[in-house]
Amino acid sequence: MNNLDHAVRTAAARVPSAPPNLGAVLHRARRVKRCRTVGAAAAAVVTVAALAATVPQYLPRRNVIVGDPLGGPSIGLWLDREILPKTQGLPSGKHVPGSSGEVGAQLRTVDGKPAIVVAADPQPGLSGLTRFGPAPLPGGGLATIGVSADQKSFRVVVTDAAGRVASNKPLPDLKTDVSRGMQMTGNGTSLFWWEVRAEKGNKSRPVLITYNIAQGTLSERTPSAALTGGELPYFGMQATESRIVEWPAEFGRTCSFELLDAATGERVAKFRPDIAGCSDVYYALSPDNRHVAALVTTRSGGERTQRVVVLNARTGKTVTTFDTPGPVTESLYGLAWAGHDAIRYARGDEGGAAPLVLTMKL
Amino acid sequence: METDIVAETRDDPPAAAEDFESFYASTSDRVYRALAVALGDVHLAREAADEAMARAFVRWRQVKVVDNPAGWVFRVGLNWATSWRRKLRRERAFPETEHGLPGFEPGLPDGDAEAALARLPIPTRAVVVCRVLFGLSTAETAAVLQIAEGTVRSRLSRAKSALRDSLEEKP
Repeated sequence: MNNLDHAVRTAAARVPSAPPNLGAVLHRARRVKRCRTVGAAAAAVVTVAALAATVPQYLPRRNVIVGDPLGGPSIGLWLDREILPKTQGLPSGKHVPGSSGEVGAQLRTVDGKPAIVVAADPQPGLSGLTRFGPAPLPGGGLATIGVSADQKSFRVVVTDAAGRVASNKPLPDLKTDVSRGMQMTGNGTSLFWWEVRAEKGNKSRPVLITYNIAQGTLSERTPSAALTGGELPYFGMQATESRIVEWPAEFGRTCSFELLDAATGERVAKFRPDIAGCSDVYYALSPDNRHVAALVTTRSGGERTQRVVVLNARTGKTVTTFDTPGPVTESLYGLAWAGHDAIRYARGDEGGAAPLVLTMKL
Repeated sequence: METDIVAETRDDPPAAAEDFESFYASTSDRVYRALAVALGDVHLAREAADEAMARAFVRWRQVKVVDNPAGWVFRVGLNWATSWRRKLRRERAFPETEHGLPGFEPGLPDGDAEAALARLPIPTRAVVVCRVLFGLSTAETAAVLQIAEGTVRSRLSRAKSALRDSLEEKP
């Protein structure tokens, strides 16, 4: 038994520490009690559907669990739009949190526990003057375009999931005015954003810029069905390897979204999904491009609630909806796909209590 | 927050809740580590330990009088994690390396014996963990895991044999 004993004890000793968190356990116990109460009531009379309506706030479902058992890279967390951001934009002054693809923080695993880690401001190698980002990348990195620390040029800085600089290159000349308010996104190889090019006759046309992270080069794409100013993605973009989901400020609403071919910039689909009562939405496209997860914030009477609506990316129809416990009092929130059919949702505050992390399974 | 929850738990008066707190303080780390070794996944182990502790709190009056409350929590956590993992696998085969669901945490086992331990099936590791980390006898292990004593003996024998083989293969 000696070798076995030694192997087990060594393996146990090597497990990263998990500080006791009685509060989290008691919080979870409340849900367990609710489930038991609900189960008893169901057995007595009511149907499952009727039951769901009777349980206030958050009815735990078997396909939603509290925690992050799948794990994965950092999740980019947006700062709530009603909270003033800390970063400086270009042109300087106020800007809307979340604009320019900017996230305020990331959910990371620190000492074996999920934690809110605020995005460094400024990002390494940059001054505080930011044009785009820091925008979350698949895999947990961040991409930022801003003025260099010596304030002499624009640079593109990409950090990895651990916050280390993976790339720091000069931004090739775009010959456009500096504009903040447009979005940027990226996948494993490229960054994407829209620019508006001035043309003769006082006209302008939007072009999709693709920046190759490895080569530090730019290319322009002009889609055949060019977007108009009102359709430009002022609210958000998110890229997978082959598609980009973006959501414009169309009619002042953010409940619509469209899909682009990342290689050509051509619009593949445009939807106005049936999402009621949303004032702001962040979308995330699944890696297989089949589903779009919409993190919907609803503001009513000074109170915020959030739900995640999963939409079919081919039809725009709702596939399923996951409620989150409400009301939302936290200022940072976000979501990311874990594989093709699970979603990791997180929210929390800088320096606050332990963040809430939910895993939602389609 | 904690006080509210305690107050809500009508089955368990405050004294019982304090009782649970001291149980939690003395056993939570051991249960978590035992689950991590048995499951080979620290994230899942943490979730399973919290879930099992929460269930223990809700049923504390019954749980605290069982022969081995820590063993009860370990088994509940193990069953919860196994169900969760089975559900994921049934619905879709997650790429194993991507999410680290099966297998040990990367880099965790570096010795031959530890690597051999990591290769054992979860039910076998669970038996080993009960014996070594909880110090249970064969009969107690069988009671905690709700399996036959013969099964405990055979799994233990298999574990020893696997370790012996791994050490003999060492050049």
